[in-house]
Amino acid sequence: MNREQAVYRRVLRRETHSPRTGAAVVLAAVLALLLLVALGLGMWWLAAPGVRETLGERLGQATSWADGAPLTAVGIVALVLGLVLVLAAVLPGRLRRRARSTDRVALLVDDGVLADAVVAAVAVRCGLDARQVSATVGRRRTTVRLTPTSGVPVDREAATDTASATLGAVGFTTAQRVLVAERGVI
Amino acid sequence: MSSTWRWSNRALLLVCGLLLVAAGGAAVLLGAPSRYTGALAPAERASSAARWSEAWAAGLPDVAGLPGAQAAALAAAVVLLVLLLVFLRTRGGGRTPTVVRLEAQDGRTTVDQGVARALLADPLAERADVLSARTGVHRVKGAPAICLTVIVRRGADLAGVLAAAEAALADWDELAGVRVPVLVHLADRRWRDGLHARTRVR
Repeated sequence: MNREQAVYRRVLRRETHSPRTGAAVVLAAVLALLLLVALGLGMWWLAAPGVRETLGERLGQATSWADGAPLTAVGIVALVLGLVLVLAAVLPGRLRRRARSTDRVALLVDDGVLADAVVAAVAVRCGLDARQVSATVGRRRTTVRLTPTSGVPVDREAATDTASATLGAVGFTTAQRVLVAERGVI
Repeated sequence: MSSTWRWSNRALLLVCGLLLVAAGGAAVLLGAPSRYTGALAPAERASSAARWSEAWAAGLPDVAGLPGAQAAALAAAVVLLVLLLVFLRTRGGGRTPTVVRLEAQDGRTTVDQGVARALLADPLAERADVLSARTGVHRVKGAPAICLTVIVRRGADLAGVLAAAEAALADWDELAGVRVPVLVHLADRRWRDGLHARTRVR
């Protein structure tokens, strides 16, 4: 593997998975803010001995309610938040994109872009308005939903072939599924 | 394409998540009625752990007139705060304004990313089925790489857009004289792209 292909492999791996930077930055900012507040209170505590009693009393008042049901509620919230963070850390976080590299470029296409292209191509091929066609491009399968015009049959095979050709034109392949609504529209 | 160390994002999330799970679990056990947690006896365990930590803190030597535990807590908070600020400062780096840098005996030639934008993004942005195109340059594996992001209109001819990008890239290769890795990203419209007209009028 030459250097360029190694770069493409690395870049495509990074661009198809969530970096979790947003969540990590928010978490780090909140932690830094809490630490700053704690440091400020700590310095105040150390610098002004008369403040210790006041702070101790207020801390006692603030924590006195944390017993029984409130403590359980806070614990459940912390548990759920912790589980969300753990899942964010360990799940791969695949983005809805697909990627490939050619001799010269690395290509990254959002699934939504492919779905729009499939909708436009199928609508033209089947003689439907674009609003009568919808498509979902998944990791392994593309699903096309057609709502025919009342009294006019749609060619399911043509829709399948068109969807396949549209994806193939940019070098991607998936299994196709075409669903035709039982009731048409005018 | 930023050079952020992604493992550090996930490591921070994992450590904080595990701490929250542990703290939340302890709070639930302590707050639950004892008939549900009798076998676990959390109160006894918590008080024995508190006694042990108090004894350990009392054994720490004083620092500059401060009790050892308070000095240690202060130092730990300062170190943690500095680490968090470094973490925040280092997110999303890796951009570079220079696409090509050629060193010779009698001098150095650099190509600014504005040239890449003019050659790669501008021709694509003029297409009727393209909403916008932009370039970004990042350092990947120690060398610049170009990210060409193209936001296409609904139902655009993707193969045509890709062919146009490759044609623009051929011009770029000829001009630059060196191969720079290029990522072509055909991207979904952003929320503000919904404000554009559905078709381009000339």
